[in-house]
Amino acid sequence: MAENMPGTAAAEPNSRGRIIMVVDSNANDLFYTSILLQRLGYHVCSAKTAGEALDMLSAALPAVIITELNPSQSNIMSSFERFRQDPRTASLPVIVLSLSGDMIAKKRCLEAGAADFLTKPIQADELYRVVQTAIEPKPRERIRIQTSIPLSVNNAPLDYNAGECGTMLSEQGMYVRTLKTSPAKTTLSVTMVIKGRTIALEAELLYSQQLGQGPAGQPGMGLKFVRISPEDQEFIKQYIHDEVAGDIAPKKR
Amino acid sequence: MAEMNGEEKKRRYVLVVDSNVDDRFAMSMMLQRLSYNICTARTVEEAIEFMCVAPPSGILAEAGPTGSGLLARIKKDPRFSDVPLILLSAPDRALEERARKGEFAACLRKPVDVEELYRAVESVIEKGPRRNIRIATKLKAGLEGQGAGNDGYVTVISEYGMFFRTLDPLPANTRVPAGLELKGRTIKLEAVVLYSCSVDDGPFKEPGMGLKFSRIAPADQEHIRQFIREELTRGIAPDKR
Repeated sequence: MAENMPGTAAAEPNSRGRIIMVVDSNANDLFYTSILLQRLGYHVCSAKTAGEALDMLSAALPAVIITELNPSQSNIMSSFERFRQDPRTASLPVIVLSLSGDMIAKKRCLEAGAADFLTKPIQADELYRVVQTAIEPKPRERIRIQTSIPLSVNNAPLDYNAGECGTMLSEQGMYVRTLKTSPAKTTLSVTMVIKGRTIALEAELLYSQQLGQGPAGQPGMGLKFVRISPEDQEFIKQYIHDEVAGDIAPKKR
Repeated sequence: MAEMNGEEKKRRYVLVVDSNVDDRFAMSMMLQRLSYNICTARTVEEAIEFMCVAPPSGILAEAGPTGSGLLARIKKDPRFSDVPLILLSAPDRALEERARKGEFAACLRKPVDVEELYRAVESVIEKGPRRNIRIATKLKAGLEGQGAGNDGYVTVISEYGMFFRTLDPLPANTRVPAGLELKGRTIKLEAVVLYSCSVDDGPFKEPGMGLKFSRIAPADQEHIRQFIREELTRGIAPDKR
């Protein structure tokens, strides 16, 4: 798989065609949203104005448009309305980004058919969720990141040097690469260390894969966290956010 | 789908600067399909705005006033003077000579060819640049001959070789005939095993072998090459590749 082969082009059929148009007049925000979406697996076209975005439609028709609501414009609905009125984009989901949590603007956008309305600064998980909801037939709620976290299961350390570790992590679960799997629905105690913090939790085994099974052929088990302290869950959430967006997040205004 | 890739490449971004919307889109899409992160700008001023947000690993810009303006700006700004600049132009010997003399990193001809684009970007921003594009696939393939005789999948392919996923890989340096179905064409070739990974090497490594094509008909190699190009340029206007 492309993920395992550095330098291999990710020309996977599922990622093709999922182009997202991002429209924002602020370079900081446009950079952040564009790079973030690419890191989340999407292809991005970007523009500073709605007019520029509409010019690009000859080259690409996106699956969703994410546009800012610029309060400095005389008609605050202009960007959004231009996409609604253009027959090429009228049926596309449009997600509106606003600098303020203006409830009146939000209400107007949603009534006019916006797929969602987000307030800046955009959180990575929030953006991921609304994009998933807007364009995916089976939307995911949480970002998952690839990791290689050493851990213990039922107080027995996994053999990290042999490759046993947590390879995928979300705030609600993880995939553990191991040969030592258990039956589905088993509850396991898991201990892991992330950035110096020891996190102990209980997880339910949702499914397990034997050697040679599954798309990546990696043996292991998918776990759902069923007992975790709110602080630890928040820590994992923040860790994921930092991994995905920590180096590109816009400075506070 | 949001499976973050820890590769260093994902931490880099290339800035594409072009006033032509089709060219901007084509370059941006090709580079994203090649796993680069991209920002696009129409003008020098927009480009500088992005560069002030975060310096890119490299810049790809149209020649002419945009390229010249950008070159002048990055030369005199110490924050950006190390950022390699690749210019794209119609055939222009004078410009190519300036690139050779090191005034900027490289010069590519428009319309941009995806392989040239890949090589140029790799060479200016990667420490260990690759020359040939490899793409991930799930192509069915079969091996023939002694000890092989098994079917499997090609999980990565370039015009010069492939990774053949199998639980029974052959030892390094083995020569093996292989057959590959690719877009309705049956390709017969001979390959040499460069390396193999068996289940004994560890359960968490992809079992199989890296094969280098040692004998392949030029027409078949061209077919593979075209397949790779089509995968990377699909949906992008042909005259913009």
